[in-house]
Amino acid sequence: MGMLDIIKEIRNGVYKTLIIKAILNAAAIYLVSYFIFMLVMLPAVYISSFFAVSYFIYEIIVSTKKDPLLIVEEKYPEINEELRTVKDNLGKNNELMEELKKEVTSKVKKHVDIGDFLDFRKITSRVLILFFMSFLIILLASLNIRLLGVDDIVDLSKDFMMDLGSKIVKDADEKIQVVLGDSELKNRFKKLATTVGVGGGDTESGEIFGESEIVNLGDNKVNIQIKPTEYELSIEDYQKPEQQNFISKSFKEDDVFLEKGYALEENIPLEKQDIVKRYFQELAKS
Amino acid sequence: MARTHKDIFDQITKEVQKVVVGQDEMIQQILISLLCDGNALLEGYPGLAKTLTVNTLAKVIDLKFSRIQNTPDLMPSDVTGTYIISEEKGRREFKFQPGPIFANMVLADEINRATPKSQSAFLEAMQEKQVTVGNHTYKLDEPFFVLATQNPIDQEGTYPLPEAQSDRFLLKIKTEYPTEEEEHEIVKRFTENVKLAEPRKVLDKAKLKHLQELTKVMPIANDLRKAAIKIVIATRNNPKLFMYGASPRASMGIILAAKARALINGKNHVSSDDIRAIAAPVLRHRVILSFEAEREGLTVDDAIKKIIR
Repeated sequence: MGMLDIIKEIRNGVYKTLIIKAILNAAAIYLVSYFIFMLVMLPAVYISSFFAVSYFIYEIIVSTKKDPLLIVEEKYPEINEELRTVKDNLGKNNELMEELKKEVTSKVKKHVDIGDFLDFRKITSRVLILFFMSFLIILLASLNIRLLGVDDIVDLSKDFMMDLGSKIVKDADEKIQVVLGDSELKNRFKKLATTVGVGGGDTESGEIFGESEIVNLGDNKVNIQIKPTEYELSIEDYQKPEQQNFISKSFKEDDVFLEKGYALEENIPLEKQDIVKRYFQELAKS
Repeated sequence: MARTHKDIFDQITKEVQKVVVGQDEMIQQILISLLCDGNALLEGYPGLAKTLTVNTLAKVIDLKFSRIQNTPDLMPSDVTGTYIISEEKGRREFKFQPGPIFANMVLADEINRATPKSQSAFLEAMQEKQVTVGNHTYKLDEPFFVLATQNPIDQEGTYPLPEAQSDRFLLKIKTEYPTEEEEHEIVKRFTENVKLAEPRKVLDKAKLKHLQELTKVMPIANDLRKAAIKIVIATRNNPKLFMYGASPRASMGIILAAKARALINGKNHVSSDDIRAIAAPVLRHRVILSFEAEREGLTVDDAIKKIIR
């Protein structure tokens, strides 16, 4: 094997170990960030993937900036500066260079093992982190545990703002009531409520806060949650449809009612009904 | 192969040390400048075996040696040689009488005692390896080295070397005081009736030339070459430490001297240690300290160490 082949082999080996390290680190970052974003209900897959890919690219760029031969020399002081010298002077032929090539070749064969560049303690720790984080993510997903979602934060903020708005209006009401009469207060409040968007303003019931149900529910979302771990379906797990006995006394009279049947009613004027009837009869004969 | 070369240099050092006690560093640096085909300036207090070392080295390496004792009344023609009238067969004609510069190894003792005019007589010889007298240019024998000495004290009546000339020296070698044990050995060796062993020749011109060629082809990694150049550039871009930085000649000097050092140490490539070790001798006579650095009490070597770090 020539010196050039040896250098190529060393270089490829070092690059492979750098890529393995970068992949392990990026995977660890992916799982850790996935875990964190899952807890706060953010789109964990996309954000974690972004972090992991960015880190992978960064580590590859940084580690490939350093000459792999320099990394090998740092690891093996026996060939320190010799490997670089040989690489930089490959084209030169003189007695010193030939001697150096022979020396470096024998030293590389004797000492250098690319496996030495994989720090097994570090790799083991990374793999353990990957296992642990995977286990933790599955566990939390099955228990549907979350700390605080972004939606919750938004809702909480909204509620807080609404409470603050109501409090301001109430305070203003009390102060104005002292100064002005009740009718004047109502007119002013109507304008204020319309501007701020709080309360019902002028309603049919004449209540200043409008319908109490509307005020309480407002635009709040109704959160319906389906547990992600309970989605499994089995085609064997079925039941016959439940037979409902409408004549049964178990139904209350209010439950079953008929408003009006319009479905078969046709709006044909009386004088034309005979013509229509004959038309259908002729159609049936043909 | 590199081991064989190391053995040669070890043998040279051993032979020189039959006469000179210690001074390993100085001997190694003189050998470096010989391998680089460069000149060296030896600076140290009187009595530190500068002249003796160069003298002995010339004997160990089979080279034609000459010594020029520099004094204020030394004339350039005393260095280069001059035309004299010679009479042959009743005919008188001018004939060039070569001066002491026509040798392989020239010891210019106390070079700072010569006048600038005489100092400049060395310039052409050191750089171009030739001497121009009158209308004629005479090539000097190869290899050719000037090993000049000067002492840092007793500066009265001296003429410090101009920058242009000191730049011609590849290295400025500092000679240090010997250790106590070495001094005991010196006293013993030269005060008792002990016959000193005569140093034997280890190297000849041809072998020296081969080693010089090997020095030039000594492999060096690209990043080490860049590091050496960065050191030299740092002397120019560091006004807090240096008023004037070193020229590109210093970059060439560091690389070449580092190669020679590697060869002497039996290596087959230049290492960063070689560059660090040789940076100070190459740079110390090529830079001028800034006022701020001098005020802080820094020496040139301290400032160089700071930029090497």
